[in-house]
Amino acid sequence: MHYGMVIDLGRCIGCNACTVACKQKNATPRGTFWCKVTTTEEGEYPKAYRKSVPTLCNHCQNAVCVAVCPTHATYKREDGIVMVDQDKCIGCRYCIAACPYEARTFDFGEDKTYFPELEGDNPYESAHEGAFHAGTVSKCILCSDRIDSGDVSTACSQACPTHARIFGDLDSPEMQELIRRGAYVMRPDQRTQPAVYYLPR
Amino acid sequence: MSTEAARKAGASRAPMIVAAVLACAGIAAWIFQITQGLQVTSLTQTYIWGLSVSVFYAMMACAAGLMALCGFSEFKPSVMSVDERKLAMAAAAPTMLAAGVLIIMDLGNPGAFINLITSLNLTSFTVLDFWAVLLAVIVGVVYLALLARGSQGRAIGVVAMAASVLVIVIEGIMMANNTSHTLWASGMSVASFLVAAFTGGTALLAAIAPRHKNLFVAGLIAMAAVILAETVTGLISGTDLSRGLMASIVAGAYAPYFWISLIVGIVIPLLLAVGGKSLVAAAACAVVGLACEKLWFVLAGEAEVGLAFHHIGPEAESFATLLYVPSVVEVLMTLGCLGLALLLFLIVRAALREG
Repeated sequence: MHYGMVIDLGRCIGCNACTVACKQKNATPRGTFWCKVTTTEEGEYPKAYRKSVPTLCNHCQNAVCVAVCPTHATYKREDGIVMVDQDKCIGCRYCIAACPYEARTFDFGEDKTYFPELEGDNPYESAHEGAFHAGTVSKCILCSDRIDSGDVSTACSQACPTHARIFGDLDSPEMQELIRRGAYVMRPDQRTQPAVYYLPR
Repeated sequence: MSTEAARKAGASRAPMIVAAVLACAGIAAWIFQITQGLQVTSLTQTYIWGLSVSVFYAMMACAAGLMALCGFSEFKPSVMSVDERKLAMAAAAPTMLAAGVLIIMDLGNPGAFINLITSLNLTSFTVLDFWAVLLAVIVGVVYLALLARGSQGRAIGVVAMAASVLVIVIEGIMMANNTSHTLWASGMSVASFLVAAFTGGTALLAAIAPRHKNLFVAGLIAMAAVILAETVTGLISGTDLSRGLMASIVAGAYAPYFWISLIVGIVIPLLLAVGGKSLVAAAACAVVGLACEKLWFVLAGEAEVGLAFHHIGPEAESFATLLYVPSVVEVLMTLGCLGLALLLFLIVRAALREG
């Protein structure tokens, strides 16, 4: 069992539905994006085009963040998901420096709510209060809480209107078939063996 | 007490009062930071390390370099007399201790610090660095005690040199280990850290024993060679990204720190030392330059990953948008740790004088 994701860049339309779904599901604080879509312009007129690249933690098999974490706060589960135990994190930020994918966010202790001009948190924010600790690092958990409760899916892949994000067990024949279609990984030079693959446009 | 004696006593207490005030200001700034979070610093998701980490490296370089020279003196006593070694270790041990305090201040969640001690994750260079710094501090204190008792010798000299080199090498590898940062992940990092320790150590040595002016000059020239080798090589070769990065160091967002490291850190001390002017001032300039050298090295390396990952153009203007100026809280905490080092030095020196 090795959970991961195949992202078909030919299908991604850059709508950021995955970004919003992740924020809704995990209630990440303002400024924290576990799942995001970077958009760049490629080519030149008249063949210029917009390239959208959805990103998330790559849940690497050879995760440098796990190796460099001084307190074992970052660890890898049996199913390949890389997690952060915020109670153990000392906030040294070495994992952020080590990660080649900019997948981690440090909580600087700023106001976490989206509408600070309103008095207090909204009910949704109140329900998730305490989930994020100031001075620690957070990142995509590949919806491990859902998986643990028996729902093997991620919010981002479920919300994707074009099925560009395909989540599953990378050892399964279906995922292997997708990977064989010419999928590549980000920064292969880092030898991190990511669990997130990209199918080219 | 005569008026003259009272004036002298007041003058001798002045540095201690200044150091104590700085230390108190640093503690106050740290308490403020703990209550408010690191949002009171100028750190960002791009610049996760800044002034504190850079000054920590500079303090460790100076202190470890000086301790290694003390250790070497056990074999070649002409380098430092016993009294000079006492003075040197009275400076080195508190500086390493204060540097350790500074890096603890820079943690986002110092309440969980105990996890660092209990985890023993030896694949993490943060853990190795913690134990290496602690070892260097303990060796420094033991060496100082042995010097005070007059029972120092070659054995402690070897241990002091080994502990000094170990901590500097670990810190160099700690940066080089971040392989996604091409600026850090090169063989130059460890060499640069070792040369910085030599420069910092010889700067303090020259301040203590001015006859070693030439050694200090050699240290400055070595540091200049390393800085120029690193930047010029990056400018004339390498990828677009590394050229853009070096351009941003020399003439972009990090240029102020780069030029301070060259002018204040190398050119001015060279002129002062060669011209036979104040070696204490020259040493102080060299130490400031070392901190600035670490600052541009840390900042430019941090920005590099984001620019490479998001395919932002490697041009210098991309980097120019990423300015970092330390906040008042960061400056106060750093000055506080320097004040702590000075205060401990003055106390230890006074104790050594009293016998």
